[in-house]
Amino acid sequence: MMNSEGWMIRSLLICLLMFQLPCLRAADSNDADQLYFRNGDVLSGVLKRIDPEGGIQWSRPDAGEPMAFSVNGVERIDFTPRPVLPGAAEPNCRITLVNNDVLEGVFAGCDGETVRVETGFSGALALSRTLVRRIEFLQRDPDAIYDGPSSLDGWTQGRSQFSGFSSTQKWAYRNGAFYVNQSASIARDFKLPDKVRIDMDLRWQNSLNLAVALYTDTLLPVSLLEKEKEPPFGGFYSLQLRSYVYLMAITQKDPIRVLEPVMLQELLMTNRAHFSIFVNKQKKSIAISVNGNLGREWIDTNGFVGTGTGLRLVHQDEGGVKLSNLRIAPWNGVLAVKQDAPVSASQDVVTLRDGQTLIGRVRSVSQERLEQEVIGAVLNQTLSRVREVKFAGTEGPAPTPRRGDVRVLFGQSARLTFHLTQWSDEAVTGTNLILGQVRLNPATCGSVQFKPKP
Amino acid sequence: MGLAFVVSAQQQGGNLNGRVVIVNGTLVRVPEVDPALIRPPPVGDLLRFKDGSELHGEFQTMDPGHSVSWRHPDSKTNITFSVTNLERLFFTKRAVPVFKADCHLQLTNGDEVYGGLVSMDAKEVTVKTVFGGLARAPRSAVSGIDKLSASFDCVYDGPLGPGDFLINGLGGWLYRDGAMISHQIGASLTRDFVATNACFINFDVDWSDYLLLRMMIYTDTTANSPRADCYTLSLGANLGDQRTNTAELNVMRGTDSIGSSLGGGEFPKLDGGNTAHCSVQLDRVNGTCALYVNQHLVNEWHGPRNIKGPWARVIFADRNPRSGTAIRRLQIFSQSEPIMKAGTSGATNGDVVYFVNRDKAAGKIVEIKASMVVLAVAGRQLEVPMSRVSRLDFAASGTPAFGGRTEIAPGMARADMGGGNYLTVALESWSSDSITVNSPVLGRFTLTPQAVRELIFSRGNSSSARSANDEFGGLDD
Repeated sequence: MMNSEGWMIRSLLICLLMFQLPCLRAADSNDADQLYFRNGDVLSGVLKRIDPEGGIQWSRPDAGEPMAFSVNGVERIDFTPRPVLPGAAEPNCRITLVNNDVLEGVFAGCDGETVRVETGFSGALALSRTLVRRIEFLQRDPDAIYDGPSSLDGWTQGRSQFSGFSSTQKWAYRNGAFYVNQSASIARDFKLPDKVRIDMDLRWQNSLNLAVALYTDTLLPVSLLEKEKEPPFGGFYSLQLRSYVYLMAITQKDPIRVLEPVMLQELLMTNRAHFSIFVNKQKKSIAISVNGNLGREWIDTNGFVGTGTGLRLVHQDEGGVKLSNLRIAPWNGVLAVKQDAPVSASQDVVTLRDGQTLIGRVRSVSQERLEQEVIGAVLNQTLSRVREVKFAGTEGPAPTPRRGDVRVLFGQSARLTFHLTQWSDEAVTGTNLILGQVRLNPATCGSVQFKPKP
Repeated sequence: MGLAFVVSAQQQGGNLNGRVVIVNGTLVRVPEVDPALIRPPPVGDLLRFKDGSELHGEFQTMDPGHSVSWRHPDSKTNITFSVTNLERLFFTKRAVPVFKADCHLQLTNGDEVYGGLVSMDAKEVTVKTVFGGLARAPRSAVSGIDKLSASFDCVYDGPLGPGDFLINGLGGWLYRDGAMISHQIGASLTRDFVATNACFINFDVDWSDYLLLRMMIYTDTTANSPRADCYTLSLGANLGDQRTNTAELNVMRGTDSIGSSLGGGEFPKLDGGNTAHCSVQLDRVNGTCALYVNQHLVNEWHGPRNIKGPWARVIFADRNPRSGTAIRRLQIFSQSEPIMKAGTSGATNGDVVYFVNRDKAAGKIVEIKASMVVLAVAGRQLEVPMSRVSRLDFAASGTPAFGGRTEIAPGMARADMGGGNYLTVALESWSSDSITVNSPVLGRFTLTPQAVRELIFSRGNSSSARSANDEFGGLDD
């Protein structure tokens, strides 16, 4: 997997100040970090230092002296969220390396041999293409109505007087995702257009039981059993996401109409999936795909009942759910959903934002265009249409972490695995199999895992 | 209650993993718990802090009012913590005290003492305890005193470990830090005890979100499906938008697997949130069952008499799909005599004397002698031989909060002494072989460290396992 070229920057001292710097530790912060032990114990406090001799040095106000714990008994440390560093450049690409490390930065270009990315204030990072598994372009679609979540601002949480919800404010936000583990509703009026595509990543515990209300005119949940008694509301669709998926057309006065359910086998075998919902009001159709595979398209022959323009998400209390990468955008009405093509040993794969995939060698990628050989022809795409590039021959098992390796997570996605030399308030130093020497600003780290899994 | 029911079905073949149940009208797939994925509970003493931190290790020593010295397996040296942030200190490996009592003292601050009644008059009650010798309580601090029958005995005091129970459903209930915690809807937790005619089952329960707990008592089966004569008590708390808390008793007779309902009762909103102290008093000869929640009488049911069967067994089953219900401080008392006292209502404006024939009289107790209680009733004085008295309730000064127990003042701790004995004390000294404590009500005691099972310093997060910081654990990579 790694040849001599792969060690191109082995000796390069990398100063990675990760971009979407989630936080910097304020000098006078009273927030606590969390130390998780392998036996399930948890201890809040402040990390002072990690080194091979002293282990993990940890302090908290009610302990007189800093404590020292062996690394062997510690599973991970979660750092308290810090404020975003002012002036930090927002990353526009996410690069997955062959060892499953993920870097985020500003894309600087790619040719037949090298991928370049700007990381922090240290300048360009040049990676051999053979060490890069995938590049995801994070450019925001200028037409997107919503791309998040980034906070709870603008969202309404509430409950029906008839619902079984014990309280409001149960959806939580953290690191680019919504979390909930109790019956709870959250809604927002996005002024949904007549043709819209809604994408989201969901991860759940136990069984998935999430209701998505489409084209609703109320931001509060509606008790379906007592809907006639609810305050007046207009019609909407409720898309029930479970191991089987079905659609309900709901108006206040008429009986609920259930459109034919569909059992999605792949939802039984997993606890995470990417969902895409397509709505075409003129066609009176609502379609759903899971992981790129079309599950069902419903046509409401009784007419489109949705009278509002809002979206409401209702967790119906079956374990925890994490919702991330929620994207709402106008849709061209073409239901051309294709499954991601597997990575070929000899072919690069380019996936466009509309779901199409193109297979062929990527000649070059600039900050505006991508050039690819497809069936003997050379195609040029504007980079804004490209969602990701997978390079040929880079699939394979990630290397087993070495003794003394740690994995640092930055934000939702970025991560780096390296052999830790030292962790102090000034710097985190170590060696990465691909990048060589690494030096990180500890204030940019979201969490650190010890004895990480491959 | 009618708010939830469970129907279990198992798919034949296919790729469904787990069971399909219907809860509140919703089809729910409940995957079978893979025991290999369940992290084994940590071992050792537990130190829990108000901020949700918790450490398992070995308690070393304490400087009362100042600090605790702690040994953690991953620390090279002992760690000293200030006591100001402590919530709970649980000691593993404590011996079960020998139970010996002919009276049960309940104090107005929620403390309870079982012991031998030495003397009782209008001013003071003196009890000989198994943990610390004589305890003298001013009558003003006593809310009630039960005279226990000769056969009254503590037949179980725990939980001390998973081996105390028969668990139906692999991984269904797990032991952790003195509690049995449910991990699977419907999994049953079974404990046998000595076959008797009457039992008293006391326990603390805490839960996540809402409580749906079923108890089967005097049942023949070890599974969550009674077939013979038995009592089924269902408890629900924090259910629905109205947050009503209810209890319902059913009696199963013979092969009638549905049983007949004896009705239900409601209990007030729980000040402690997701925790409650429950006491079930069941007399199968007379067919009576009384349920107390936080010392409040929820209901006293009267059902069929003489429920037969050799089995003395209690089964707990968690009906909450989210599980996480914890049973702790479980004591089972039994006696061969029927329970003679009627259900006591707790807080009263006047004193109440309960007679052995289940009658009672309310008034003002003007005199208590070793052989007699003098009760002023309607302008007359009633002299009651002590041999005819089963319980004395003294006029209440207010209903204790928090599981029937008052808040813990700073500098104080609630000590679990085992055997149903709970004292609120100030810790004065602690050495390897003796502890000196001072109860504002009962005075000063010298205890052995082994006598203390747990110290609670603060009414904190009653979450049975994890801190709030990890509430979404498992959803992130």
